[in-house]
Amino acid sequence: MTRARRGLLSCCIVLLAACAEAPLRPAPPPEVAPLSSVEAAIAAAVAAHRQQAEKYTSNGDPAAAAREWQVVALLAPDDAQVRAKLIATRAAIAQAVHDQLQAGNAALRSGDADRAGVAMLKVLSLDPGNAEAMKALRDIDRQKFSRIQNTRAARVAQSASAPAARTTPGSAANGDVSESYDIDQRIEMFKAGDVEGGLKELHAFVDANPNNQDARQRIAATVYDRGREAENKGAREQALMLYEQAVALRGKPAPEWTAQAQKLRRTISGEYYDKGMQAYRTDTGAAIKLWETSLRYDPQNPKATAKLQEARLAQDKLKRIEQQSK
Amino acid sequence: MQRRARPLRHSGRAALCAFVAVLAAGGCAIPPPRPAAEPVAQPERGPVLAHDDELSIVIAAAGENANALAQRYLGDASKGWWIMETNGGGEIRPGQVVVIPLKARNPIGVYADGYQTIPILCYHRFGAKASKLTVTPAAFAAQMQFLAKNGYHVVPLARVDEFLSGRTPLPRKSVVITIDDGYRSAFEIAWPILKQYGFPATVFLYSDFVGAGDALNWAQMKEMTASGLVDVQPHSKTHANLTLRQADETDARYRERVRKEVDTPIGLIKERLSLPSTSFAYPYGDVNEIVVDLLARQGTQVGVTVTPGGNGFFAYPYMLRRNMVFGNEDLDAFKAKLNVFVRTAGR
Repeated sequence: MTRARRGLLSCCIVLLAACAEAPLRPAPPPEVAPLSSVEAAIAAAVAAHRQQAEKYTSNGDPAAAAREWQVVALLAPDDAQVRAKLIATRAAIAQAVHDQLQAGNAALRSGDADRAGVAMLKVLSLDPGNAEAMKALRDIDRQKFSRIQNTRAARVAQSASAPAARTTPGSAANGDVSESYDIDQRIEMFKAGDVEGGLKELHAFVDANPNNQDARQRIAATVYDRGREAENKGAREQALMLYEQAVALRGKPAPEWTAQAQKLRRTISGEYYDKGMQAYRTDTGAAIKLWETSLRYDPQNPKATAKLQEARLAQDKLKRIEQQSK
Repeated sequence: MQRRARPLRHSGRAALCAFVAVLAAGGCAIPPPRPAAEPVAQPERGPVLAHDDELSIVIAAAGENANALAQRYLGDASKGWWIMETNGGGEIRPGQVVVIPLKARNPIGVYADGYQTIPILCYHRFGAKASKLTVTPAAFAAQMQFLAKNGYHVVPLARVDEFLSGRTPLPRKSVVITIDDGYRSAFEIAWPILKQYGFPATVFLYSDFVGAGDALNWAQMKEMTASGLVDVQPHSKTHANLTLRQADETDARYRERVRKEVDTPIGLIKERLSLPSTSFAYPYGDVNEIVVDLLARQGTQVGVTVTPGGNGFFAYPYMLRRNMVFGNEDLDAFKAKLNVFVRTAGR
């Protein structure tokens, strides 16, 4: 190296030294403590899952035990004892599944669905994917539920077709929950404004349970109350219809309700009479129809009877004059 | 079975060192400046310690909760509860060894001590004056609050079919809410409360009722279903008991009448709300095989009765049990209807 080159090199070193801060020290190796904390976490997990596995085994839950041993075996793959425990537990599960399936099928053959169900549930607690046990349980439940439904449907059908056979007055009040629900449901429909559908369903219930006086009283009172509401709103014809339905649904004499209906009939009849009087000035035919309607509501309405007779005579007379003039 | 039998050796150890260093340093390091457009970073990924066909065992990284782990390893954050249940139900902590079930290990919910059942709650009407079939707004709100605060998962009725088929598990405290008939109060009272909790529900509508005094109208139903929380499904045309034959009704006429009771609301709901029919509520809870046959032909998957009880995986899908919630009962009675597990005697 020449002197000049040596000088240049020295200058560079000096310059670099001036620019540079303290030289960076090599990064220390990763702390040992965090690594051991992870290993400690793994070791703790192994211990916890092992403990759980032992607990499940002693509690007679091999399926849960096998799941725990599986975790331990994955975390501690070199542990031959763990592997052996896992294999042994799985073998015990397979044997128990076999035994319980046999027991369940035997119970099914003997017609003991309850015992069969218990055995099949045990199979599935050990082997949740066991298709045979799943099918058996589904069949058992379907048969059980179909029986419940058929019994209920038969009861409803029998009541409807042979009302006299149902002679348990007050059965709804005696705690038949489903029957009580049937009434409530129909009443709610009716009260919510489905008057036509609700009445139809209420009649269906009464037809099916003609001797259930408590239910009939409740249903009739609901319908009567609805009639009062309608009358207060001026819907007199609907109110009358509801009063009459209430009396029919009640099935027993209800003098107050009947009197209310009769009073309303007279009122409506009078209204149609008045409308007829207005129409009579210009249209005899229309007046006749209105007075006929008036008399349908109150056949004893003397004014409507007289005016209808008068109008019909006048109409006949008019027809005769028209025929003579042709 | 095992794909990786030596989880903590060689390169695994190096990765673990790096991960631990990141975890340890993460709290005090000054983050390097990031370009403004860089998307928000996902939580750090913890190392997989071991796995086989059924399980992955990982160490949770900072910010990884059960849902994040489910998203990462199962591709579906809503399966976070699988991870929670497998790991004892507690909160996932950074650095914790977490077992991740890669597939549903017990989709039918049968255990050594009993089996899971799904209660389907049945409401009718809501209103200020309580009666058997009318639940007050305050009572309904209290019931929903109880569900929310006590770890119940309110699931749509449509998901019950997956559970019954054994395909998909449901969380252990799953409950279904249904509202029968189509009263307007479902929209005015129940709907705001359901929205508040994000609870799904199915309204069962008998189609002749629409337009009556206190009934829902189509616009209200459309608004509810548009949210994705409420489903509207058929409950017959007239609400007549479908098992009851009319006097002197022939088999053919009965079948034809029942067919109308089934088809009419299905058609209307499809036409007005563009919703497929997946379930059917039997008026008065009564059903027979003729009705089931007609529903099956329509592609309906489940039918609900009013026979009380929860539904195990083995329940007959066309005759599911439902628990009616009555307005004249208290919160304790409501709690008793939440039968989510049936204990079996002995082992």
